[in-house]
Amino acid sequence: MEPDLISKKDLLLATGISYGQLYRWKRKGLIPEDWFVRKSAFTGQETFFPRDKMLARVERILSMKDEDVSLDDIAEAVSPAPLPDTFSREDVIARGAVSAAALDLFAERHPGTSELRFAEVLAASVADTLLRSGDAGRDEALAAIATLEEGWTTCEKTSCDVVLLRKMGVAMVLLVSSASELLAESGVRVVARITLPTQIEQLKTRLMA
Amino acid sequence: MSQMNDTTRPNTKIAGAGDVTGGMYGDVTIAGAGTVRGDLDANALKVAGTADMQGTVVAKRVVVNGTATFNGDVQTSEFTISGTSDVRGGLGVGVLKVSGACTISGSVNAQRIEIRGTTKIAGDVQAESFEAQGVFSVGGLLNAGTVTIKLYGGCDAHDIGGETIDVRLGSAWAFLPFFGDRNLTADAIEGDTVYLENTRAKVVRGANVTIGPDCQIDLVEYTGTLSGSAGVVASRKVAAGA
Repeated sequence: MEPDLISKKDLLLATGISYGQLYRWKRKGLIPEDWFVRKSAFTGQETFFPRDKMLARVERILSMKDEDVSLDDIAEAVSPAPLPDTFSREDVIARGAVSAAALDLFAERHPGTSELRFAEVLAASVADTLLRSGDAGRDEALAAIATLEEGWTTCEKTSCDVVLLRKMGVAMVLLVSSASELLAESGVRVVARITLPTQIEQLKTRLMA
Repeated sequence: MSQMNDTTRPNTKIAGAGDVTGGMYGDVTIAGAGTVRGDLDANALKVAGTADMQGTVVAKRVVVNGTATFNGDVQTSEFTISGTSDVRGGLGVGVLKVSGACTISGSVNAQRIEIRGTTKIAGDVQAESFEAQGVFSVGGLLNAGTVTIKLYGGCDAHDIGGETIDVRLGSAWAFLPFFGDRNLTADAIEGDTVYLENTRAKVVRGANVTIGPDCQIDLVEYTGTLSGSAGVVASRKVAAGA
């Protein structure tokens, strides 16, 4: 068996949750459909999960439940769906969601925007992540924002990654579906790959706190 | 999307044979043979004759006493079928009641499902409560908080999961016709509390599992208690967990 997968039975043993809970969470959208991996076994088909993501998710749900957060609110917090609210620049900075520098970069493309939609905060936060890690320069971060703005409708429907490639100092930003493998010619380096659902989840945690 | 309120939505009725274009309506009644071209957004849709819905349907209430074909997705808080319905898309519904016959090509997302007639769903089913006293077939996963099945015919689901799963033979004296063998077939059945009669499954997993009469289960895994009555056929029983 692949080491990065955990069977449903082992998951239940490791976390102490029950079948009923797992099915309820699935119904409420707390666990993404594509984490349920079906594989053949002697009893027919067995379900597996991506181990690290799933264990982290269960732990998060259980800790939120301890704080008496309703399942619907947990679902909103963990789902990749955008939040309906808009956010002021000051609010975003105060919550530590996105740095002022990244928001300035965003403002350069959109001067005079005072209230940001969730998708816009997300674009700025991706730029922020790229800048902080030192993976991207200013122009590359701007390119990432532009790419996300154009491709946002696609990202809303499927799980996407933002990829930064570089060859001989020339950078390029791609949006690819999270499941895809990238094969590039030699000399092309994948500098950064940011999984949007994860980025969204982290961003939501900050914004909703 | 719409700024129209209920008073500005016109009602419409097809009594003979006729067409209406889609759009926003109050109550739509199809008593003869009617075709709705395009997507329909209505307060209520009532079908007493034959209806061919060519687009998607969004309505507070859908009642089918005749025959209706839905070529797109259907979204409604109440879907009552005592006639025949064929939904070729998916169904999002508050309460689904089937006492006639119903086939759904996509998946069903519901609060409550009550089946008295015949229902065939090709995709997955999600509901807080699933209650069947008729014949049903679910091509994918039947996932419900409470699954209550009274067997009056052959029922099957690829897999069943939920909190409480209760499958019993329907009472013999009920005023309901029998449809062949009365049993349930599934690959895997998983729940917290599971009670089964007349069930064939490859594997049953749960906390507290009771295998009643006339079951054929290849493997039972339980973490709490396992009880069974005479006629239990389980090739392997495993107490899973510590």
